[in-house]
Amino acid sequence: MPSDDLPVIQTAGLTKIFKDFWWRNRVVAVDALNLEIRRGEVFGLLGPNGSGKSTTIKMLLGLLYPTRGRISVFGRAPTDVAVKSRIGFLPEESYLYRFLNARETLDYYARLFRLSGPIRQDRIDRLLGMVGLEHEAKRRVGEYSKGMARRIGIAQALINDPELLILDEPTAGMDPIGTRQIKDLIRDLGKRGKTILLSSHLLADVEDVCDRVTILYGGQQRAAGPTSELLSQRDLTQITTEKLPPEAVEEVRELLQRTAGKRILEVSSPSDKLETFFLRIVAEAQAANITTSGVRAAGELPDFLGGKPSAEQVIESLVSAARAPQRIEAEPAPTSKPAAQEPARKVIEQLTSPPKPAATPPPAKPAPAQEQTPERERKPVKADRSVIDSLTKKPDRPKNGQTPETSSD
Amino acid sequence: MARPPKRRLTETLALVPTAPLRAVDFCVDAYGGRALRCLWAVARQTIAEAVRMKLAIFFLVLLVLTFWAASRTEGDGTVSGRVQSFVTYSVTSAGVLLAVLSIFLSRSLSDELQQRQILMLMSKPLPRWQFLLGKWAGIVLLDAVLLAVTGLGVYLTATQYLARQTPLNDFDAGKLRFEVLTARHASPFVLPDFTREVNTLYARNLEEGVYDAIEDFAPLVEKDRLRKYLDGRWRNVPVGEERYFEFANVLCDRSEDSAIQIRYKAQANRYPPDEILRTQWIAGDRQKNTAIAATPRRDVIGRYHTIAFPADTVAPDHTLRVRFINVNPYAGEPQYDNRLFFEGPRGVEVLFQVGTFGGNLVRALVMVQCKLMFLAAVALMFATLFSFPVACFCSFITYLLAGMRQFIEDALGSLEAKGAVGLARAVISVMVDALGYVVPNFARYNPVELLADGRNVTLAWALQSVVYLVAIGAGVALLIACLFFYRREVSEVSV
Repeated sequence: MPSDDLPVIQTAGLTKIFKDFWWRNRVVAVDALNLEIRRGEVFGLLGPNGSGKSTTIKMLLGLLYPTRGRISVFGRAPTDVAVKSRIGFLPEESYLYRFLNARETLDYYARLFRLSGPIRQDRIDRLLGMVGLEHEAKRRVGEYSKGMARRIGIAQALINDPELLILDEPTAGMDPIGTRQIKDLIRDLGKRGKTILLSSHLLADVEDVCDRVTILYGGQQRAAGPTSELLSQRDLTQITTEKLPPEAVEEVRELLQRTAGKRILEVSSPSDKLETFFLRIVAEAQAANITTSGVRAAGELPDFLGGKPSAEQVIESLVSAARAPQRIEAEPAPTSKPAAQEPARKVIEQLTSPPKPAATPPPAKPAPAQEQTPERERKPVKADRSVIDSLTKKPDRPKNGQTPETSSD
Repeated sequence: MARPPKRRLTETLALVPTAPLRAVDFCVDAYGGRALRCLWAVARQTIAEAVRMKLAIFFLVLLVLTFWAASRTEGDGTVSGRVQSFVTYSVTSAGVLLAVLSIFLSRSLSDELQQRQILMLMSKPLPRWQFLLGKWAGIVLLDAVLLAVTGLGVYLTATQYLARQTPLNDFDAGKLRFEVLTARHASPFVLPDFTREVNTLYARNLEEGVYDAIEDFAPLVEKDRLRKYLDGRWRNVPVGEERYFEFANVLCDRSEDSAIQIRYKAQANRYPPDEILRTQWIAGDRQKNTAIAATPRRDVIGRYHTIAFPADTVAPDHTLRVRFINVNPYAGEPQYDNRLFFEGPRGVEVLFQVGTFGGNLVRALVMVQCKLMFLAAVALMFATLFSFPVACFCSFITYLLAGMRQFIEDALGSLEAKGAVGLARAVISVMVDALGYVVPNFARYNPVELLADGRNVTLAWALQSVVYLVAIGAGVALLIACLFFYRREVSEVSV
């Protein structure tokens, strides 16, 4: 395993020129790009359509060959097959097999990582729960909406517990809830020590989750650096208070003018963001138990993804190692620290009012109905957090776990 | 979307046909190495696609229909004829249908390239060669299963249904048992050794000065010519004369109730008015104390005929002596004055049972499977290069050329022989040579005729087709496919 200071991805003078039928240069898709992505970093690759983001990613995966320049992924060439067992990849669209159902799709990809049967089943169950599709797992993927297919795409990218996750437009086609979940997921994975390369043109997505970004235009790097540094407006200060009467604002204006010699540039009362509003409405619908054939509330991050393995996992891996010795090499060793699991758990703990025993595995079944408290009573102080928290909670379902037979779509 | 409640039943039913898949799953999971796991994952995916896209099921229905149609054929009205035509039609059409299926199944690869599932696949730790080999294995396995179903169908229909129809007469019943539903080895007669006669004749001619006038006289060529002359004279049997045909290595079961057959085709220099030859055949060797059996015959000129003799006419040292007499044995029928001759090495052969119809069918189907394996590899090779329509077209052209190669070679060869000169001749010979390198000759590996004729499809022949069609043919095609595929940027879409 390479040492920690070695960049996970490094490119030098990476150039891709697409040729036409007569072998003439047609498009310079990527032009002398130098990237360096370090271990544990959430890195954003930004740019408008056609700026070379996807081309760069495909070269990093050996799906396209560079015209010039060098790439190293985990210190190896991107065409090296062994490297790929450490990577999870979600392409710009979820290219799935229409004739398979969600479970079979994940099973196929898990097989390609040479995971043994019991491990495959376990991971598939957990990932389906995570993306909220466990009840649609037997439907053909061809019948899925774009967002649902996207969720399967994300689940397949995580099936091998990758050290490096490459996500190309992960939120494309997703509803705001899904978008929010993906962002939370990326953040959680980042905290667990995964290296993540995120390509997007949805700036809000990138802004929320990325440690560092690079902005591409015409295949060239236009800006690069830590997100907070790039975005901070050093000559402005923002103060948020409770609602002020006009006279108070006037007093503050005078005070500022007198003491600091500065003037107020803008005074406004912020409106609720549409995203927040939307999330609240859906949360209410879920609380009211309205049925849907689409995605249900997503579950938490499965604990096989990085972090410290639970006691159960250790025993399981020992047992299966005895059964199938070669399986061990297919699974990368856990990379991050024990504490990394905590953030994801914290969210869940907020939800389930009577706290669960610490050793309990992630809830695979919906929480019993009597344990649920009304949504509004538990609303935490931060409005934003409360909405996503309530979304992560599973809605009430019939006790036998059957899918409701009606459709709202 | 509401799910129909009966889904549960279909799910349970689906467990039955998928049982073999699960069994292989289990074995691969328990004992498979890294490469085998990947290969099997791709192969089972290919099979699942063929089944889910209903392609395999459609072909299965088509196969059953073909069977039904083939079993309805009347042939020449005899039960043996019906069985023969059923075997011929069903095995041939199953071969053609499955060839088409093999080519169409390569669509799976074209689709993955076109619809870009390949991006997900190639970002997994799946070497490209394993992916291609897995695809091929999937197609080939599906072919094998369908072919096995075909084989079982042919066997059961031929032996349990058609063979149980009431035969037309004893001859029909005997033919069915000894000449159709069996596997017989055919061995030609041992040519007499003419060396002494050739030497005598040569010495006499030399003495008489026959060769004095010949320039560039080559003694060996002349001796060869004399041998051919003597051989031709020996094969000619004038009226009133007889010939002894000797056979060696007749490794048959010599028990009383089993039989051997003599198969021959006699030509005549002059045809009797009714075109019927009246002759006698006697099998057995008095000197070796074998049984003796004689048969008077009325045969149509220029056709193959088969006579059965008891197997104990064969000597313990596995030699057989058969005497042919050109004398009319039938009293009251006129003796016609003509000379008969048996042409070529297969002019007279002995046939004896060496195996069963079932074993023969299995070997024949192995040969059909070899062709399918070759075609599947070729189709995948084209699919790595072209989009589906183009790849499909190229694969069909290959299939046609392989099937017609014998015909094309004969046609071009005769053109060449008929005095094509200069450029035309050069072009023709290059074409014939090139064809030989590009496609195999399917006609050389066609066991159906022998199978229907109850002749042994030898294991050596089946192995030969394994070597030529699979090890070399499919091997080279897959190698080229790998070369193309490794060079290819999978994210580019071919059109």
